[in-house]
Amino acid sequence: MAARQDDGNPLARRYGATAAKEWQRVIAHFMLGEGFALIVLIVPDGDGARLCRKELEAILRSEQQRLWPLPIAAPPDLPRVVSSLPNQPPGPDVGAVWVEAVVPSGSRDFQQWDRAWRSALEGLNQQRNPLRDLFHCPVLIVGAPWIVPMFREVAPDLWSVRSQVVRIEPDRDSLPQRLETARQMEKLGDKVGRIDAPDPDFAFTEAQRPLFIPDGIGDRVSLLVRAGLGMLEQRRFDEAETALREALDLAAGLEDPLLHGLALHAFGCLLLDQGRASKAETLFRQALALLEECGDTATSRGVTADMLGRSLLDQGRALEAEAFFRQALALEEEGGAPATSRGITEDMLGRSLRHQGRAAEAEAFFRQALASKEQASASATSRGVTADMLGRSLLDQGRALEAEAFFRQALALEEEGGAPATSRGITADMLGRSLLDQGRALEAEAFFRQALALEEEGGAPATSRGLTADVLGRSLLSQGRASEAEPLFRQALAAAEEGGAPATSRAITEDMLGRSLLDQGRASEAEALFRQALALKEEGSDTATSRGITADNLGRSLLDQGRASEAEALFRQALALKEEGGASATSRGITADNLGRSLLVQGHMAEAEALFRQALALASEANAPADAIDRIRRDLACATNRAAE
Amino acid sequence: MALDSSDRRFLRQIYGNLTDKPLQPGSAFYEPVYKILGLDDPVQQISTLIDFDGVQSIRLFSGFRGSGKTTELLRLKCELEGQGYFVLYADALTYVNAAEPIDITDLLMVLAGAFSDALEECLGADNSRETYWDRLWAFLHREVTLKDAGVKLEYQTPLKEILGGLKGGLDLKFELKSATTFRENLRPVLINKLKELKTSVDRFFEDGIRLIRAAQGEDTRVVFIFDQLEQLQGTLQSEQDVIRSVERIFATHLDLLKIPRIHSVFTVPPWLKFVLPNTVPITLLCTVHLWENDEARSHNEPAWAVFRSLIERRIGKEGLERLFGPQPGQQDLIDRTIAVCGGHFRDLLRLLRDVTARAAAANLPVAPSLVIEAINAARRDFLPIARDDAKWLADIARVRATALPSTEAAPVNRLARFLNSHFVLYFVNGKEWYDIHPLIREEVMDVVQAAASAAED
Repeated sequence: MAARQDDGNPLARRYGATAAKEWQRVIAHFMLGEGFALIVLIVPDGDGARLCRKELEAILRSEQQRLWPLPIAAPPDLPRVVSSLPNQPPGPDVGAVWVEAVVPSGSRDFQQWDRAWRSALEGLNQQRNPLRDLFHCPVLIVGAPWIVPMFREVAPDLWSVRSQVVRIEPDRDSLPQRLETARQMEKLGDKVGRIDAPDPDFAFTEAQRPLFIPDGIGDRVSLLVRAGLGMLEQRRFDEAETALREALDLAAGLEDPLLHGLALHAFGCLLLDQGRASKAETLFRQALALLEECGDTATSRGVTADMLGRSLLDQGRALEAEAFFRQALALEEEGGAPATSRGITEDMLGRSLRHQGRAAEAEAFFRQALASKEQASASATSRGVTADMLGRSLLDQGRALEAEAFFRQALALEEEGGAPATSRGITADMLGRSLLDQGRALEAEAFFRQALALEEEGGAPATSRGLTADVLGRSLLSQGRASEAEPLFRQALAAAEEGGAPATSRAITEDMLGRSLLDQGRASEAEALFRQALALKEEGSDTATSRGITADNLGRSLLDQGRASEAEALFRQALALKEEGGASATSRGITADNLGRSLLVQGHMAEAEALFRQALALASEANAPADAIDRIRRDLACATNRAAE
Repeated sequence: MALDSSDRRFLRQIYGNLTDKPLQPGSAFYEPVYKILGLDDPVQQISTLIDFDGVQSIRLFSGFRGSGKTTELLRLKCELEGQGYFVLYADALTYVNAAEPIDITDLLMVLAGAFSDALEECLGADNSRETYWDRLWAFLHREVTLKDAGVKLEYQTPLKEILGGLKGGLDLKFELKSATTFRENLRPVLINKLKELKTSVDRFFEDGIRLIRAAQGEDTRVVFIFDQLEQLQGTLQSEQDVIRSVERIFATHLDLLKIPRIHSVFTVPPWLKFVLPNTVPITLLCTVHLWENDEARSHNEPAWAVFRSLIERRIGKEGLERLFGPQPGQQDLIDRTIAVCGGHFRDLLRLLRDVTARAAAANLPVAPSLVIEAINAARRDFLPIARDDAKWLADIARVRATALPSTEAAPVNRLARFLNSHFVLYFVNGKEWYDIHPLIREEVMDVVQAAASAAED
């Protein structure tokens, strides 16, 4: 079976080079294999499945065969259709059987699909031998990532004979960096209020009055909690701490788990707002245990579970946080909490998933959160915050065009709701990124400038401003305006240093600054920056691919200075690092081309030619941009001509 | 360099050679691993015991998934046929529902029924000959209901209800496998008639022996292999009931499974070993230990040689050079794949197939990075690992034993799942020991460490 020349192109456009490469494995199977095979295809969402199905249909069509997709529209169809599979072996014209049900774990009918998959796989497990005997073609099981552990668990016999597990995921090359940046800039989620405290000063004064009733200490605790939470809302941290500490001390002496739990919860909120997430976690755990012990309402326990999730999320423990947000959501649903509360927790659950890189699942929860908030007519700012998060989850999946729409909606909502300048600045920044990802650098530039102005107006932290300056610089650099980009990268670097950004983050900006210098022909200055960036990346244990990129840039700066043999060593190092880190074929092709150039300059024609050929193969394999391929072709022609001379 | 048509032909050839399927006896791909490593050859062991056991015996044979059970059973069949035995083979999954508990009465019926079907296949169908299903139909209708009608009238009613909708013996066969209610209704009736059922089953086997001897000669010795019974495991909801039901059969009713004048070989679930330790002797296929049972997991060179030879059998010397390039790089890449297969042939074949598939979209010989990508993909098949699982797995890696907290159904089943999915590997060299799969060692330690840090916080 011949592979199509443009195999994986739509997948590459949608998810990047890594996904396209994964898809090549499926194509290779159809090219090389015969007979029954079990291929488990994991895709992020229904769109991914559709793309893959279309690709496979085209491949089979070219061989006068067809794909047989099983009709699965609702959860009960899945086990029913799958159980009848061995009784209806495919005809000779069928090239593959397609069993698809891709459901993100955040979808509303997830439970039904979960049960359906479980039952279908358990049934299929018993049919392993008939399937192997009766089917002359591959069966593709197409699902979301969560079916993998389930498959392993409930269908071990079938799993043990799998031919391939192919995972179509958004490209990871840029994801960590984007995530790192976005995490720092992520806006705070709004909170579900436990107690309304419109006048905390009044509550505090009342709490200080002499008490004449025997159980009056309990009332005092309630008043202090009310006062403390109100002060916290007004960002009066010191006063809030005084009130809440007193409440906690008093509550500890009472044998009232409900009051004690509430006081612990309130103090946990204070600690969390002060950035002391680990300590807050301890208090929320204690509070939740006490509230469960005394049979507090489901809604109330849901609020504490939500806060516990936040404290874990702030510590980077997103997987654990996810469990508590799910618990909170279940409790809120059990207790009939208003749609706004559910929307807020759904938003937080989405964040915890996104922090785990599970963007498609996060997307489902952000959509749900937005719907809940709209249903409850939540404030424009609150809806704006979630629209912004939804945009981010789409951007993580490489769906920049869709993301753009949500960032625009978020910006409009935040403006309507009078959100602070810093918050609007962050959204403008994200909108710029979505445009930049679409190659619309000029439009992106305008939004980055707006973001920078808003962040400065709102007194955003140095790190945040630095990150926006960095992306503004990138938008200029990609328009060929290196001299304008340079001061912005310098500004970003200064902000990163001022804000104590991690070594790897500073290294990324230094690398960008180096590029802007290199593009202006200032190779020796660039060299110094690339060397510094490489050292910082090594210090920060950055990924091999990232180090490979900087080593390649350093090589280019040396080559530009005519130091070809030094450059050669750097390019070799870069290539090894990129291979180690699994960098994309395009990226490796570019470095192979640079290495070839350094050899060409030194007169090693044969070796240079071999490298240009390797670079061309890599770039073609990855469908690299036409200008990159042209450049390599020109280099190859040059090497061939010189060798002939 | 892009692949040309000759490269593609080559890759197609080795992709086919690396297919994971049971090997027929005499296959050029068969690696005589037990012989080379000086381990007990399970096939030799069973065939010798059958020979020594005289006219009848019962043998239990097992192995975790991908350990080569079917290949070894085919070899056993060939070996026994070579010694003059008449070997009948049946697939238990044709007759039993692996997801549901099984009862001794079910097993006796399907055992005789499977023997009957295998006999039909070997001797040719004969309409005048009574199949076991016909005989069972008659047994249930005439022998049980009429015989007991006068004594215990209540038998008639349930049996009428149970059998009322069935038209004949063949219906019984399908109902026994697929209809849970039918089996559940039949059991209480038959359990009180176990002795009669056993007698009727034995009589059928004896009639079968007569037929075989009439066709094959008076001295013909018969072996009946009942394969795939090890697939009994239940679903996540029914697994504990299934485990208990199988345990009950082999602990209490093993004698009833002995067939007169026939050597029977049952493949049984490997977890029986943990449920009934030292009560039922089972020949259990082990994994090849690529490392020794010492702290450093030192290299076991003879085992590595076996795997290198296995790869060479499938790909050929020239093929290896074409796929992995010249030495010494070639050996390095091959050894990388062996190092992460955990001693499982099936895992190694899958990994090499993936390397071949990846090569089809790249160049030949393959780059080291391509092999690393294939290994990383194989690792992801094991992930994520739950925290509780990681803790147990870490214990297994530390003590090199099962660390089974009890022989209750739940932990036994969890351990069986670890073994079947190759998270845990079972070895025998001198004595039995266990370890975790090399692909998950780091991940397991990371999860345990993260859990400990979280607990400290």
